[in-house]
Amino acid sequence: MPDLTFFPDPAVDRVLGVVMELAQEVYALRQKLGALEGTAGEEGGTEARDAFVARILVPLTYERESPAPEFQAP
Amino acid sequence: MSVAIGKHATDARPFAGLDVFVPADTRARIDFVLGLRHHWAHDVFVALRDQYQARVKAIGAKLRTGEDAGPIVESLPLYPVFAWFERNIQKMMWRALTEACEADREQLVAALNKPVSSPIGSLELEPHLRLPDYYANTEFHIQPGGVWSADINAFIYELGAKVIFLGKNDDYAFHRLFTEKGVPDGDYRDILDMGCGFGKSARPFVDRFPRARVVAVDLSAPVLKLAHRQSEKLGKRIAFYQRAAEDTRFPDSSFDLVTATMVIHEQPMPVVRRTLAEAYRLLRPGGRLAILDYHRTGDPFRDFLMIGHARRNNEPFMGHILQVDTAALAREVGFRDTALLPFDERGAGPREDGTWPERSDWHFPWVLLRGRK
Repeated sequence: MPDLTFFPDPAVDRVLGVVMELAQEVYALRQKLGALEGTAGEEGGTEARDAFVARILVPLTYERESPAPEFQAP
Repeated sequence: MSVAIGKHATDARPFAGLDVFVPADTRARIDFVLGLRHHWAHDVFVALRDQYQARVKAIGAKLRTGEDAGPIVESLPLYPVFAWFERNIQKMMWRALTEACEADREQLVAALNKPVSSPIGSLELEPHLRLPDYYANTEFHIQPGGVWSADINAFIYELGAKVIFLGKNDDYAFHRLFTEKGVPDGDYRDILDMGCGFGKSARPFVDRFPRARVVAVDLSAPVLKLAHRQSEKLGKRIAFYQRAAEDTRFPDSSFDLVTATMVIHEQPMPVVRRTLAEAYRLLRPGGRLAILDYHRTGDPFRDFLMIGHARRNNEPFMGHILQVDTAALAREVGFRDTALLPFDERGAGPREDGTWPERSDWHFPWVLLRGRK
């Protein structure tokens, strides 16, 4: 049974799913790299995560281009 | 025995205080989903509301209900984005949580089924219980297999219950708040929690009313096993039974307080009515009813999104509960002194003046249904 779709062209639903899966993997790899390099953030911090997500989603959220929040690599 | 997510995903150590390891990669994926949900609940929701308000103002629309707002909201550029993320964040979350729990599946399932030594509470399962169709045929919250079809699903669900609150409910403060502020003072001897899940809604009653006998029912054997183990580990004496809220089979007039948290929106309306009637039957004269669930707010924008949430989150019966005056239903089965009060989970609890809390982010429209036999 096909899943719910929300965009006029269902291909957009699928492509967005692919993009989010990739973004999730990039985030996981960044975290792993940060751990290996000893540059990982402090336990409990969510600012870097939220900035990473915002950087990806801001272009979807606002019709006109908005400056992304300052992003600091872990 | 528990699975939990860490605050940060870079740490290769197991989560502090836990006997289960969750791989760092998996924790990072869960962390990312939390970030998505935070952004969706704040930025995307706020931007959508801005678009809605601008459109309503531009066309001079006079809207009263969620249904009125529907065509306008659905025409907004951001609406497909909001809707897509609402559903797909949930699906990504279950995938990541399943990955987390599957990593230790054998250990978790074995521990779940190991008998508790010298229990202070009890667990009574019904291996031959036929689950109601409305329950067995629905994957509530889009959780694959629901909470009942496999033991591991209980752990996945428990972890999901934490994630859904964006890490703000790790110690289940939400349920403590309901217990402390949603239930009137009283010398309760017997308390029943309907649809207790893995016990998070029942345990606070042991603390607030230590002299009472606390009984809890749920349909799912896996979550009841988890509820029993966790309660024993925490020293909370609770008697768990695998029974339906609408048909508990306990004697008439055997409780002073009956509660249900996040339960009736998962029931078809005839079952909601039967659950309320069952609560009335079980209560002694003067006994109290306290149910925490959802209700429409009167804000057409929020109400429309909540109606859509029901569809996007696989909550096929939630739409009914948003339409119906559950206080009137409670009166129909015999309750008196009923009230339906908005409930602010940030600390204030029930709002006696009936107004909804001012908040800019997306949040559930919690409402407390109170009544008395």
